[in-house]
Amino acid sequence: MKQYLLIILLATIATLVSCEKILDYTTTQIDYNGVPHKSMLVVSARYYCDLGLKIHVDRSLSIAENPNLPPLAQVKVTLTKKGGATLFSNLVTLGSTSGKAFISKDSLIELPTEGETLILSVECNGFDPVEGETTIPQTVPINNFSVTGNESKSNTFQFTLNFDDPANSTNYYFISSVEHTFAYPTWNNDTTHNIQRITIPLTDPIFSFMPDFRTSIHEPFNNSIYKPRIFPDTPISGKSYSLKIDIPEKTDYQQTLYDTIETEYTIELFSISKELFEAYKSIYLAEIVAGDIYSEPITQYSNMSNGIGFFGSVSPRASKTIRLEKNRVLEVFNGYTDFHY
Amino acid sequence: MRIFFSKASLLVAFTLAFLSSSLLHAQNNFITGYVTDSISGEKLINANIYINEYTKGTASNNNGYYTIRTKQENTTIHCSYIGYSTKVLKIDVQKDTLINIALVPNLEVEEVTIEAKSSRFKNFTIKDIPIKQIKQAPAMMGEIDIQKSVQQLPSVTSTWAGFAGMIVRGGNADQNLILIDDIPIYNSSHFYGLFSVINENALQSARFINGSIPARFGSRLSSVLDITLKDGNRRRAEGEAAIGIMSGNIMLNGPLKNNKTTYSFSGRRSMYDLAATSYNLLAKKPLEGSFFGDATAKITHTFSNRDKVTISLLYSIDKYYNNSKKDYSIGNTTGELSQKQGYNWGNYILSTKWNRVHNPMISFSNTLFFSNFNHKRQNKEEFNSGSLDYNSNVEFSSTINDIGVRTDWQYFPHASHKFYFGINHTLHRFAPGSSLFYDNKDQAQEPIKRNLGSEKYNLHENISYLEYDVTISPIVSINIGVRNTLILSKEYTKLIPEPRFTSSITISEKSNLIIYYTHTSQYFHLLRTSILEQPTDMWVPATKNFPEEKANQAGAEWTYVHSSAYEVSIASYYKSMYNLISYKEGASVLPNENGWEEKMGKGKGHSYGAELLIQKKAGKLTGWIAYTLAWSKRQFNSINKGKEFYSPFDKRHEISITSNYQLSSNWNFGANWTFNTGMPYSMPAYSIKTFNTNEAIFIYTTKNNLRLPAYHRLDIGAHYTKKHRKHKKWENVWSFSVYNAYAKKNVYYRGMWGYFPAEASLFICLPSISYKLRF
Repeated sequence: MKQYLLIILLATIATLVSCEKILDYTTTQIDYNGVPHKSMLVVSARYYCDLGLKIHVDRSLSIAENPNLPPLAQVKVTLTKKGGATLFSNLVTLGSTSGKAFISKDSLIELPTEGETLILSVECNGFDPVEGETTIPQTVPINNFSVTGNESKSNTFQFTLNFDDPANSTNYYFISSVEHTFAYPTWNNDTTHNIQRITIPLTDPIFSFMPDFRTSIHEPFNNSIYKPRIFPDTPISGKSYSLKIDIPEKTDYQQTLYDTIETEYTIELFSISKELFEAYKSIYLAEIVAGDIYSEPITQYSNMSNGIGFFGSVSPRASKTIRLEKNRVLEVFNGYTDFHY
Repeated sequence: MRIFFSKASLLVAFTLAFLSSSLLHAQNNFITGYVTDSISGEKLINANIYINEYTKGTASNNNGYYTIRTKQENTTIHCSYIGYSTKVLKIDVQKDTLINIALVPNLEVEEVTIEAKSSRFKNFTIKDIPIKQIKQAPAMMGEIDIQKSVQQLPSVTSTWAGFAGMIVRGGNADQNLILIDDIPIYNSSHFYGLFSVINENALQSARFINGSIPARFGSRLSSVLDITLKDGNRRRAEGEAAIGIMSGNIMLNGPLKNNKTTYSFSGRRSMYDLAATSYNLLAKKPLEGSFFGDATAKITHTFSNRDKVTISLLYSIDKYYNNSKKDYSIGNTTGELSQKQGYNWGNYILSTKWNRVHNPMISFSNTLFFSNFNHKRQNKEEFNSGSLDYNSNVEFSSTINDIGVRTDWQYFPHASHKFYFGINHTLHRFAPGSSLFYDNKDQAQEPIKRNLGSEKYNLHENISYLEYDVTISPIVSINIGVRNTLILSKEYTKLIPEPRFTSSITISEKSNLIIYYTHTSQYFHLLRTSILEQPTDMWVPATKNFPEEKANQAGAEWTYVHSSAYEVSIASYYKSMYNLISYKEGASVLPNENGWEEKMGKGKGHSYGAELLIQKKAGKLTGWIAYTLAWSKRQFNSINKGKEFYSPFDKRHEISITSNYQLSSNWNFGANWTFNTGMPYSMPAYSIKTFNTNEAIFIYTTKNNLRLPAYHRLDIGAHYTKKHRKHKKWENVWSFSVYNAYAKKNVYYRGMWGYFPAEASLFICLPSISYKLRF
């Protein structure tokens, strides 16, 4: 019996000691089977027909590297028409902290038009050159723009923006809003003028193409400020559509200090290329689930050969502006004003 | 495709009708009876019975009953079963004859060399699981596990290293039909997937089918693990009591009145949590731990040689709990905060079956069954102080309740012609992912009350099947069948035909070739992320958007029987799967307002490979060597930008060597070695700063872009059996085992854990000891 007890004791001790190591968990020193990381150019570029080329260039980092490396200083940017002329080719200095640059449309030899395909090449010392292409989308005008109070939500304006989705093509859209507030104070003639780009609450069902993913660290996706203000024409293809936008009344000005408060909202509708739509969708989705251990990994969209990122294009904007005083519509007009009064 | 299957079904039905019409006038005599264990009197399932003069034999069914027909008046029949001495009987068959065969256990484990007979070949790619051998195999923490033994076979791999979940021929974990006394079980694992819920003490027999699945089985795409529970010893009461580091269990079985009724009971409970709870109570620490338990019971009453009724029960439960209380302040208010976090999940199955041998040609069984699978998670907080109270409660639960009735018939009009047919109706009641939120933390606001996804789905599964098994010539036999399922639910109605075809070709007395085609469907999906395997993963029914999963599989298996001891088989297959589901990129397991469908994508997959199995079935040294070469791929429009990617279970090479050595009547040794190519996993290729927020995000370029390092592990074990000093019929059995004996740090998880890359290894050398008393 004594020998049994000895065996049991030894086995139990060995078991308990080994149980300390049942789970070995580590977050460092991972051998990735020798998979090397070759740093690539990361390009985010959008060609706005109204403005020109906005470009952000960075480098990819291995996931173990310190991400606080300085931005790249200078890159060579070449923009050509597919099968046609070179529109721009020059060294471009990137913002020292942002890594961004802007090439005005006025710098281009000629302006590309709807339906034309642009090729963007970016070169930088120490990296493989990268290239991507985009086809400029068709402009879609706003037919009608109106405003009412939302019956179900007090202190809320409901804007209705009507447009015709072109038939026989797949279209993608981006929508944005600029708010101008003009306040006329009681004690002198100065006017307070505040301009801000505001986040549109995405209540219209057209935006529900994005799934309502709930994550452990962010709010439900439907309510997220991360949700992109883009939508495809899938449910409205070739039809006229009235998109509804709910915007709360301006309440952060103290009425007692001002005689009059007028607010101007400019709603802009852009057609965007498929590449831009896919890229926005992918980036926004990655941002909202970043760090969430319960979420499935997201493979990132890229149309840049030899690199990561995207090159997309945006049609000339179609915009309507509405000027309101409290809930009274003062004026609705095309485009927008940079200056009022 | 649909038209093709409709036509195929008609063709199968027509062929069956045509062939059967020519058989009814055959004039033969039947030999029928039961195959039993000579000591306990228990039935032996799937024993081989064959007649010298015929090339094809038969096998005893789930009741141990066999029927074989002969034209010879003087016939010699052979009956064999793994672990038993083969019996050869010379019979004078003037008329239909009842011959019950009692096989003697081969206790001395002598290596008997019997000339191989082609009639021993099976008509399907069925593997009998040697229960005796798996009980002697080294076991993780002493927990003998049938599913882990099946993982040692070619074509089968584990979901995660060390887990009990099975992946068969590149399928998914939910595609395996696990039958307990003919009733499907949904959750077959304990302790977060590490151990099977099927207690080894309750096992009578098990067989595994991975390729040519007969039409009598269905509702899953990839495989069938058909387990029969012990009826109980018909001669005397016996039992076992065992204790190990993980659990303690007890088994009792024996006869009741007049030896016509037998009972069998086994129960198991985890042990380690008792010690942990005691320690936490004494140390005044939060109560945290896990618990599991299960029980199986079976009562069998034999009315006569023709009629038998059984009642079977299986119950399993798992719990995780973490309860704590602490002083807590909200603003200037101090009070006590109590927190309760818990998961629990479990199954139960209750069935009653009536088996009847109507006459030597016809036997049938009728079954009524209930089954339940449920899981629940809860997070509850209560803050109490004199002036301020709040509480919040988050619950998440999912259940499936099944109630069903089935009748299965066998009709053997001729030695060469057999029919299997039956009908089955099951009502599945799903309540997937209902969630309850209650929160009154913000005293100024109305309490938040939400109830998500509480809708229940009823799904009626109506099945009819017909199989025709015919020996066309001494060389060729064919099994042709069709299984028709009519699915009825509120939003989804569909008739799904599943044609099956298997042909067995005897190449020589020692070798056989099986070729087959099977079309299988399943009407449920398991929602499982690629990140974690959880027992609380939800089962959901097929819907309009996510219809039944379908698979076509074609393959061949060549078997060479060198002797009764040695057998070699080589198999190859190609399987295509449709309507598979998977979480979309970015989706998480957390419940959302719009239900599970929004989070899922639909896709397809295909797998192919070759398998080698070399077995040594008799002698002091027994075991097998299995090698699998396989590919498994998936394609989902919503994942990996629509491009094809490797399934998480794509393991190119897999080798397992299973061995057992009976040194003496006291000592038995076992060793298993497993090797497989590492599993694919997803890891970001880069991190970048986004153009709009300038924050670093991780970029995944392709799904499952990397592979874990190769996995290998050696398990060793020994059993020491000694007669009890006082009670000569009692035995003491000491079992020692070391899981992962050479302490290989196998990575079982690698990926991003939050914002950091992480990896984890499980079970780095795990010795265990257990004691069993047999009485």
